[in-house]
Amino acid sequence: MIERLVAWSRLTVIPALMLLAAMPAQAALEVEITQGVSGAQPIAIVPFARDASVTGDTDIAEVVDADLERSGLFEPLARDAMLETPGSVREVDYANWRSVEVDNVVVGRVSPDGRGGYRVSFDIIDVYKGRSIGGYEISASEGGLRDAAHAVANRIYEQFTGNKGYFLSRIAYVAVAQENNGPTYRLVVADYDGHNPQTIARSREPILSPAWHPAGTKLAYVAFDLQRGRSSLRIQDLGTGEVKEVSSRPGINGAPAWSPNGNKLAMTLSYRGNPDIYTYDLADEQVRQITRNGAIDTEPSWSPDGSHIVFTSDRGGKPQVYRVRSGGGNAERLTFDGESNQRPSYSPDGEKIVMVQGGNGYRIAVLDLETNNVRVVSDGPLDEGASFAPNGQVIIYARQQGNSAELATVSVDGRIRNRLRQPGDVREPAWSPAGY
Amino acid sequence: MPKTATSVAELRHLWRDNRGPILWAVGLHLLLILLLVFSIHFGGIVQGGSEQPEVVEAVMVTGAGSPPPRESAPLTDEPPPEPEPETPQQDAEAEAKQQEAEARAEEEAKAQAEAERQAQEEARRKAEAEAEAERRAEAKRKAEEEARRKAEAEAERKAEAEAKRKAEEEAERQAEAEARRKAEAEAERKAEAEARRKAEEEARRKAEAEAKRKAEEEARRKAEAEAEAKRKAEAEARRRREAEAAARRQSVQDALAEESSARQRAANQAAVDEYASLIKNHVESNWRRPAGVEDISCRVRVEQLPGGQIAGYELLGSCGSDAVDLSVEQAIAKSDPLPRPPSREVFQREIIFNFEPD
Repeated sequence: MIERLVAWSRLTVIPALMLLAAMPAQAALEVEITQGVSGAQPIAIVPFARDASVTGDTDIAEVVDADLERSGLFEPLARDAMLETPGSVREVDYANWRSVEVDNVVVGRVSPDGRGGYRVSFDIIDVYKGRSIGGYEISASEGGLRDAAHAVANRIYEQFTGNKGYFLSRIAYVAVAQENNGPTYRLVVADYDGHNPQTIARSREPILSPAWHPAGTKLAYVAFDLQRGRSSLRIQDLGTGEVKEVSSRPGINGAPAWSPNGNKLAMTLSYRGNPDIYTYDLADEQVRQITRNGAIDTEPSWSPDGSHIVFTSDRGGKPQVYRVRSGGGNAERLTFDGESNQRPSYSPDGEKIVMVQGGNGYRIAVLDLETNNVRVVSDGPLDEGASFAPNGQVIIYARQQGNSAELATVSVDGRIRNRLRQPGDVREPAWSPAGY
Repeated sequence: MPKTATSVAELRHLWRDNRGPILWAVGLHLLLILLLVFSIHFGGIVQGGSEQPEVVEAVMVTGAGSPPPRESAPLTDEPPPEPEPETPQQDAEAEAKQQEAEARAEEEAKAQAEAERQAQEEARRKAEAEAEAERRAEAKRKAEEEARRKAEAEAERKAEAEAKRKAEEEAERQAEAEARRKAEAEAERKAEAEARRKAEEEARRKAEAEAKRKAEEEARRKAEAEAEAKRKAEAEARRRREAEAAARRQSVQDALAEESSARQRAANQAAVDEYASLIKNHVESNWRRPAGVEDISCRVRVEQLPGGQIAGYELLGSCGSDAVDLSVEQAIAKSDPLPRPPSREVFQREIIFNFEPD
């Protein structure tokens, strides 16, 4: 068995093909393959070998395992089910892995790079082909082994899905905690998996609507000043902590959204009496009114090419999603399914919009702009605040449960759902644009 | 040439040129001698009679050597006086002689007068003859002159004629030369033309021969090819006839076999379908379709061994992306070995998988 499978190298395939070419066409048996296994990909992430001099305590394989499992597309083998823990391709006994029905095995090693950092090398091994189908090497700083592990997961994810991984991306969210007889609001930025949470703003008054700059270097958000009785829209630089107030006009200053090139913000302003969509030019600090309607227009989101803005409006009676050119003009209604549809957000490729659909509760729905099909991808009953992962394959949203909320992810086809374990009451998640 | 011969030739020439005058001179001298003889006789002195025959003989010589008839006329006038001296010579009688002497004296006087007269006459005649001779000489001279002139003219004419002839000859010769040259040139030209014609002819002949050879070669080749084709066609026809004959012979059995085989085929088709279904389920259970990927479409050609072991496979084009290609390759690899066929008959060494998920 082993000998024969070793022959799966391409060198032996070629003569076999020549043989095939000589065979009469009518001799072939035709077999239609119309479906596959839709479950997660069985894979084994063998604990990485590490040189004695490696001092970091990050278990790379464990981080990769978690990333892959959380994506829903992989089914990592539990360590105690592994019959061996090879440190290199040569040490792999393929029969051991086939016997536990694993298709692919990842083996790797961490070693010092001689400059104070580490070198993480690994191979993705096809158990049935009996060889490595990809060997890689990643550099890591001394404290960067966790990021290196995310990078390994990204590589594996891309190899099998064809899409970029998002395991190096970050999320921003608002955490609410009861402290000193009252709620405290924190604006938090963390790794996508919730690790390394960092509070960048804290207030006894509500913080809302964090929005990532396209480069992932700044956040726009809304802060309330209940004493002054107004809100303000701010931009905070994540590197320097510098905060810039963009608008604190009377009434609503809300729902910021960055244009794809980062030069403008779309937002909701009501200082003229009615909440409408405006754009704010960061260069000249001028606002421009995009919608003019007696109804409430809010929650704008730019199309990836910057040509359009989708937003929520109740001009039809119930909140629905509309689209307008980013320079202004007539708005076009996009949603007709469901009792209501609100908080739209474009997919990175511009082909879909994720939104919150109201009906018997609130659920996350994906609108395909080409076919106008709407697919509900979450269970509800009170889901909110959806946004696409940078690779467009996964959606993050907040699930309200009782008095608190947690973050969850779902694949765009709705098949794979995962909860992100966050402490406390977490809401309004926003997925950073970059994450590779 | 010897000198003597030259002088003889000169004499001959002199004789030939002055034959007339010489003859005249000789004749004149003989006449004078004759007269002298006669006068002696008349004087009484007979000087022997032997001299007279000599004269006759001389006359005869003269007559024999007379010039051409036109010039001999004066000679014919001379003979008449010659017989006259002969007649008085017979009688010598004394008395009679006297009388006769007297008669004769008178006669002689008369004869003398007559002789004188005759001499005068003779002189006159002689002068006339001389004048005549002179005239004749002159005439002859003139004639000769004329003849010479004529001869000269003739010679000149002849010379001219000769020159003309020569010129003509020369002209003729030149003409001939020219003609010959022309002829030669013509001949040469003709020869060249002929040579060229021959060369051309030769070339044409060769070309024709070559063309002919090629044509023949081609024809031969064609003929051979046709023969070959014909042979093949005949062989094929024969083979087909034989096959048809064999087929006809087998027709009944074939019909029976066909019926049987149709049943067999139907049975086989069901078995094949079952076999394909087994393979399909097996591969589908091993294909982990990448999530969120649509528009997957590809064909994979697989060669298997009778036991179902996969000997090789080939993706006939991409399925849509590297990840999907990988998943399909892994599905095939993971499906090794494929399900065994329900029967040997339905086994197919080559299998084409169409990955066309909904």
